[in-house]
Amino acid sequence: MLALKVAGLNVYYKDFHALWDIDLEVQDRKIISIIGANGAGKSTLLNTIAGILSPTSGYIEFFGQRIEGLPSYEMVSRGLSLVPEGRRIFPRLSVYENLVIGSYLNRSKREENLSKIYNLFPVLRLRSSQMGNTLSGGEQQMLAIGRALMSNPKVILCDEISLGLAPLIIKGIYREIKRINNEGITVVLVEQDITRSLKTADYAYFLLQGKVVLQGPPSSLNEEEVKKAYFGI
Amino acid sequence: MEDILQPTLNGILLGGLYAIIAIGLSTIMGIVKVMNFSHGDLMILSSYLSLVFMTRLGVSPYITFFIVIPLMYFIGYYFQRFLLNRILGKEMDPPLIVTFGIAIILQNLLLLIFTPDARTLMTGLGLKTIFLTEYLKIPMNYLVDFLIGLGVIFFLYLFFQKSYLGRAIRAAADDEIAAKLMGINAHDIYAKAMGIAMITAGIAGILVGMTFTFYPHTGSQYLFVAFGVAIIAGLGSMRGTFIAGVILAIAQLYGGHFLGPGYQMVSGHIILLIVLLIRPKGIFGTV
Amino acid sequence: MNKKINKTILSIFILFILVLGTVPFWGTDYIMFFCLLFCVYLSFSQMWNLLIGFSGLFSLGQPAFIGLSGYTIAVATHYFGLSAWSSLAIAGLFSILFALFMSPFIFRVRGIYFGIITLIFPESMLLLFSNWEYVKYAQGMFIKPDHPISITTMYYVAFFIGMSALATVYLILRSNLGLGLMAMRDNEEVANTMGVETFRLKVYCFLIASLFTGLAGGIYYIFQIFIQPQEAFSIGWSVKLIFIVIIGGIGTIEGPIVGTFIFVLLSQWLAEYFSVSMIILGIIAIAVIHLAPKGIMGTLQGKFGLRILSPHWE
Repeated sequence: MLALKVAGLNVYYKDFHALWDIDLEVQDRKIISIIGANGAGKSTLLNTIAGILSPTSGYIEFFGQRIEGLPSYEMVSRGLSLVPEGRRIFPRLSVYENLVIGSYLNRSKREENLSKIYNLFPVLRLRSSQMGNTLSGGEQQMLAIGRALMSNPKVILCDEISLGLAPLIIKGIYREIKRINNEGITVVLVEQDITRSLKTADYAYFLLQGKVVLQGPPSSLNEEEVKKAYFGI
Repeated sequence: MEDILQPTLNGILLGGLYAIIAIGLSTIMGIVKVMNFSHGDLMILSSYLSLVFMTRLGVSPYITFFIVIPLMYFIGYYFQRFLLNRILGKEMDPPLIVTFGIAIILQNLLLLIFTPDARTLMTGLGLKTIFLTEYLKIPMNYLVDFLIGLGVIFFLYLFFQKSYLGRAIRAAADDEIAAKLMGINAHDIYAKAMGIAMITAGIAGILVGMTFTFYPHTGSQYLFVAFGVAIIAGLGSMRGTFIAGVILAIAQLYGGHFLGPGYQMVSGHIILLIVLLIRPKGIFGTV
Repeated sequence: MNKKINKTILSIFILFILVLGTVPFWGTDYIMFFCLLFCVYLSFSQMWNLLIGFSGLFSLGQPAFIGLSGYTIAVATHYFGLSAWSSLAIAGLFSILFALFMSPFIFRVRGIYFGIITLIFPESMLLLFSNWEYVKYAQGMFIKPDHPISITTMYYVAFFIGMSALATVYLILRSNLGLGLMAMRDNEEVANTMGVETFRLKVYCFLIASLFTGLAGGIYYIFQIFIQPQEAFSIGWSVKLIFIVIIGGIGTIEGPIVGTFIFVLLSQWLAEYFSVSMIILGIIAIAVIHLAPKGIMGTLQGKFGLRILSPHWE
């Protein structure tokens, strides 16, 4: 079963043609990586899937249902969660409140999910009454991921979660990503860090200037291809 | 020196009323990021609505609370939904122009319908006072205003801190896009927030009507009160709003006491301008 | 094709100015009155458009300059026996000084507060002047200069002020200042990083606007002969300006011209009923903001590229 299917997607960011005829498939319960340099269109792609942007043509299917053009607040109820670029946690809400907002539509499972997230990221339990903007970068990232998980998503989209974090922290977060995936959640990772993405993913897509230039299981990709796809030389 | 005690006491009590007047404006400014020029006029609208129900149904003003308050919620909700939500966006001016336009329309409509005559909502309280000492008295209606003001602020604080809707509103105010990613329909939230703001305006309006006489233009006077309190308090603090209300009320009453009754309002404006000069963020501003 | 239409409209416009400039020779007193009002409101609205349309400043403080100017002339002619024209010059000066006085208050706060803080000034002045014995409280004062002035002279002063206001806005927008304003309107943060001193630009525009608003207000009261605080500092001025600029088209130079024309026509019709006219102006302004936010000229510009005076950076 395909968790996500993107076909012929064209997206304009103001006047700029950001994505050209994107075709993409995400298998259920797998980890997919979307890799590319700055400006390749990775965030635009995730934002379009999450409903923040609308495509001019093409379609997006979520477990067989068409979702392109729907507003972003409809996505959560369908089981799609985005961990946005730059985390975007609510600075003036506490850690606890940030998490609880994540289950806005899903209140019955709230306590259960909350303890799961606290087990996953114990530091959040420690800081649960602190305001969001007092956390460190790594803690904010964990909070953003935890918040996205509170709604029991089937698919979680992660936009550059390693940005600005120390390597040790990144390692820890990726370990948790794998753990989350083991529980049955499909993960779509957008990253600039090639090595880590390829190590974690089951399947990878390379974006260059808004187009898919390379795809495949990481094991099948050789270094030359990857370099070309990333740098465009 | 003793005769400064009465204005001080009155100021403290009046401050509670000023706090409720201000909290609706302050809330909307913080959440929807719109300066609602019609806040004062909407407040006075509720005074007039109360008057209408009072005379038509022959009930005391207290009963009118139950009719006017829900009415105000819907007025606020639909005002936001149909007039403001559509033009929210990057440009700051359209919402300002719309709220300003509504203010003018309301004021002049009230003038046409109710004439410039002074009105008041008569209750028995206006005549009662509690004497603390021979010279110091507590006007009963000021006390009632103060207590209700305290109650409303407290209740609102609880609402925003503990309830789901309250948190959702705060989340949308912090980061609209992220809130949408949580499944929160921001525009619907804004409409509800405006409804809540109008509830406070409705309560304030009825209290004002019971405490003072009002005219169609009273609304714009209270807009400055609300704004003054919001500036002195700084956005984002409930407790700050209450204290700022007291500060502004005392400033006004001192001005009226020392300079003459015609200078009461202007004294408030002057304090506002002074605060702007020395501490534009307000005393408790968190933003 | 567009250039041809633009040229035709430009000629119509020049014709219009010639007509306006020669009114005293062929027009009745009533028509002169109408045209004088047009010139006065044209100054007001061009300046207000400069503020809101190009500098992003929603100022409700203009009545402060109008009233201050009027009262300066009243006091100068009544108590000091100055001529109308020297009083007018002083009034203009006072307007700029008052704008300078206002600046530290209004520019220190965030954008959404700007409007209401500017409003505080005319409101306070209304209260203060109503309680001030020197200006005869709320009863008002007469403006009677020693030497009586002919209507024609008044008209030409108004005409001169109106055309100067128009020319000033035109020149500003074509200058470096104008380029900075455009950048600021688009994205203030980015403009700052490009070296555009946005704060300074805003203050300059505010000062210039205060000058012409004050001068136009001055000639208005010289013509009116009588001034009262409730009218001089009234918020009604701002309502009319908002209407004019919105209907005409925010952010275009032609907009206020069209808007002023429509307004002056309408106001003759609505003259009797103040409250009703305020309600109607308000409703129209709100409707236009929702349905055609760019106003008449703005929409025409967008659809047909009708551009006579407004700058267009190729």
